[in-house]
Amino acid sequence: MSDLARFAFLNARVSLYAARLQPLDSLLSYIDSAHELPADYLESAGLPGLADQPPASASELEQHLISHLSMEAEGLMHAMPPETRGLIAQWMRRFELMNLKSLIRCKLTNCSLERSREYLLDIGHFARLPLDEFLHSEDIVEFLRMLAVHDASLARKIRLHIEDPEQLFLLEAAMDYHFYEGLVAACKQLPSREQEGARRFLGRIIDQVNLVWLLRYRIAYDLHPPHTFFMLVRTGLRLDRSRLAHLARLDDFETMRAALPAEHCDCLEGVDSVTEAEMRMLQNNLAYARKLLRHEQFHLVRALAYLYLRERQLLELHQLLKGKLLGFSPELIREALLGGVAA
Amino acid sequence: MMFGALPMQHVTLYLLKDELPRAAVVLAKLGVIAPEEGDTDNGETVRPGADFQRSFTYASQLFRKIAVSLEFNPVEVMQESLPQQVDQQRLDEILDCLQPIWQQCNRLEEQVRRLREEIRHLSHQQQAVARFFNLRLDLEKLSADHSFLDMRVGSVDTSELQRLKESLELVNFKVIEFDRQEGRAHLVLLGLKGLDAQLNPLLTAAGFKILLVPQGLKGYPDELHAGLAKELAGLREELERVDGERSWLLEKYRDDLEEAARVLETASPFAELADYLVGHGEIVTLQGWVPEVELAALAESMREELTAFFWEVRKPLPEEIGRVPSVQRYPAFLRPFSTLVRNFGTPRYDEFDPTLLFALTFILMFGSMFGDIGHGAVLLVAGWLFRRKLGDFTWFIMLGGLSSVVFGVHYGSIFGHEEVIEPLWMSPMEDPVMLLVLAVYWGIGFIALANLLSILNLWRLGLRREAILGQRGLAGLVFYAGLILLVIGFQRDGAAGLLSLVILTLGGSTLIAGAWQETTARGGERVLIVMIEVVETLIGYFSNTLSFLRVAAFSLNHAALAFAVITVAQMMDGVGHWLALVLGNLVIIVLEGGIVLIQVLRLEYYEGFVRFFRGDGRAYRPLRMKQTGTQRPAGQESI
Repeated sequence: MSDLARFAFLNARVSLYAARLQPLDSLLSYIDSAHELPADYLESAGLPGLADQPPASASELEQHLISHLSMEAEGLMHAMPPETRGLIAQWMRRFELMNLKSLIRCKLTNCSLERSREYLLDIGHFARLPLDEFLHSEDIVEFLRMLAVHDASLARKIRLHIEDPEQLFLLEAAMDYHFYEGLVAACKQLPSREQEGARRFLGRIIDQVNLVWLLRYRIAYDLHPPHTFFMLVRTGLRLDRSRLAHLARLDDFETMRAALPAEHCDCLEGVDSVTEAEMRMLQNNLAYARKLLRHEQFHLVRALAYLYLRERQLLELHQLLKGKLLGFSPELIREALLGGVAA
Repeated sequence: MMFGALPMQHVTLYLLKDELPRAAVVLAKLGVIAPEEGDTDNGETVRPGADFQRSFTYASQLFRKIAVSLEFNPVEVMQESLPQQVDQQRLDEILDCLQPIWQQCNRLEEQVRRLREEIRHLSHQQQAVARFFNLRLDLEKLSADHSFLDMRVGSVDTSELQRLKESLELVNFKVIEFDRQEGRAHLVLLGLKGLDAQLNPLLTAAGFKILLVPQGLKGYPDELHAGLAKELAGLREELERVDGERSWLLEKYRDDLEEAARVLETASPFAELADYLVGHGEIVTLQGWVPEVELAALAESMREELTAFFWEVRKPLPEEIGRVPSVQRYPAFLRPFSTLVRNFGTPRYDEFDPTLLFALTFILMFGSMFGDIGHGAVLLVAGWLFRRKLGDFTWFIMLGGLSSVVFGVHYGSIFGHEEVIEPLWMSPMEDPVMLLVLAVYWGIGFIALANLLSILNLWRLGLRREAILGQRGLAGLVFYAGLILLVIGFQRDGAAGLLSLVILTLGGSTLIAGAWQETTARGGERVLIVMIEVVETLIGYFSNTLSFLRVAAFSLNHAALAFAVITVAQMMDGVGHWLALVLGNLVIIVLEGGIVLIQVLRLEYYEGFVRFFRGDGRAYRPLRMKQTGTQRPAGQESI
């Protein structure tokens, strides 16, 4: 069957969904308004529910947006050939890992059941783990025993790092690595004709993640090169294994930047902090995703690009609405939103 | 009531808040009320059972975890010996009792996990050590205290091996893999001394477990092996000790756990009702559905057991019909058929219940397709012999067998032998064409009946336009009658009769009018949609009718298969002859019997049920007492 026939439904659905993607500028114009976002804006962003029933709290807002994203991801999955759906399922798994991280934090700090429940996001059919069951575990050791029944490898990785509360970032890093490892494995499961496009797109995202981790581990946390290199994902696009190994040996930002491939080096021109570097890379990837959405036809990667952009859009919307809900000043909200597009 | 549900009444109970725990037990013991969500007044209404439900859920979870951990099975108790009621205070006491028990169990479970992991790890090490000493390495040199060489022997998960190797290359460490077992790679790491600061965090992150440090190499392999064996024995002893502690815990807390089981069993109805209880202050409301015949018993129990209550009883309102649970009570022989009907869907409260009709047509079709005195008798006997295992389905097998016997008498067939008795009617092979024609007539009757029932159901549902103008309504039935008369006319006289044409035109034009009204499309698209619907109806009726040819086809098939078995058996002598007969008939009974069963179900579901049966009713699930379950979740081992 041709790609046209295989992805006709998906292509049509992505095109329909893509109309919901609104530029950040249109959102910025509402920062100074004392009122909520207008219903027609929310409707054009595909979120009429937010206008009909404005969320009462920040967590309600977050849940609404996540539910919406899950619903769209599910809609895309249904339009995809069955052998390609695993990648979207793994993509959405990030939210489950976010839930797990929240749960671990709650267990480590002895949060009450009700409080812990508030931190968890309902990700609908993308949930693979019985979080509610985990929630009722007595402590972290019981939680890990329960987790091991469903994902022994992840439970083992968490156990390695859980005992040292000073180094909990290593635990998060191990979980994130687990996620990207799964994403790469899901990409390898794709039919060969879809694999290359997906690998290139995911490779760019992994490059961004690796670069940020690299800077953070080497410069902010002062980890040694072998340890840093161990925690990096090896399947980036431009930052391949040998490049990462070389970068991990360097110990200051400027030398690292100089050792980056030309594209990244230019992108990080004038940058002097990890956060700024992260934002520059993100903007670069968002631009690439927009290009894919515009020019790619009848390919799985178009759906991935849409999800990537949509997630960013919902995050921006979340920042604005949450800022308003919590009564933050327009300047603060603008700063949060523009942090991503500065420079 | 054979073709419909028992009349139900909507009951609103007004109960005293303090008596809720007792009322829940009374209602659950009687097991007649199917509760439903009550109306809430602008969010002001409180849920008086919410706290109780939360405590109950937590206590039940704790109890289940303890029971699984300690392998505790509560003794089944008679309902009479359960507590009269369980209130919040009693439930909290049980929680206070269960929490420390679970803390001890949790500690034990974790100990067991660690010990098991250690034992597994050491067992691997034992084997790895044996292999390590088989390596062609100069151990004396390696174990010497070199001022520049760092050597470590240990293991890592195979999933981490590659990136560990690559990371170690950054500090010029070499990795030699010498063994691999159950997902762990056993390695020798060799590099320059003095890099601990770089090496140790990496090895921790990779989950590298040290097996030998250079000093360990000085021991002889046997000594090292023995050392590991000793360590293993120690761990196994420790495991036994923990197991003993578990038994001790179980004995220590057995009475508490028995009591907790009783309390939780008694508390479960109130916890279940919590979702449905609403009210302000001291009066709490519970709404639900009760079969009319049970109302008197309900009133009597409530009067006997509660100090005060008030109730309102009324018939279901028209707008409520869709959510009234449907209760059917069947004699034992209809229960398996009812299960098969519910496999398709639950009849709505006001819907025609097809169970009896399904049973009759099923028995008739099965017998006619599988008619043989011998084969039927085997089914009869098998059904009786396995009645304990078959439960309700005993009747299903036996009635199928009986029907086969009756049709066998008409076909004159015993295990395929048609010369033993004179048929009451004829052998299927004698006049196959007649059999096929009869099957088509049976199909026509079946479809016409299904359409009539569809009209009845649509009318009851208030879908009057569809009942008259729809495909499954009167128009469809008239159209079908016209079609049948047309075919009969052509078959008998070689031409279409006037009557058939009139009926066909009447049915067809009504169908067209119905489809025209229903579609919202415009112009040519509308014409196209209507035409497609009429053509689809026409083809559908033809193919559905012809589908019944399988009734005749399978009775012929049955006779032919039995004839083939006899022929093969006759080609053999002695044991071979009897073996061929027995095995052949066994194949017929099991394989062909199964196929016939599937075919009849297919006819019932897809030629019958889809025409008239919506099956979107609400099952009747009254509040009942529940036992506290203690099954260990899949994948979790017991201690």
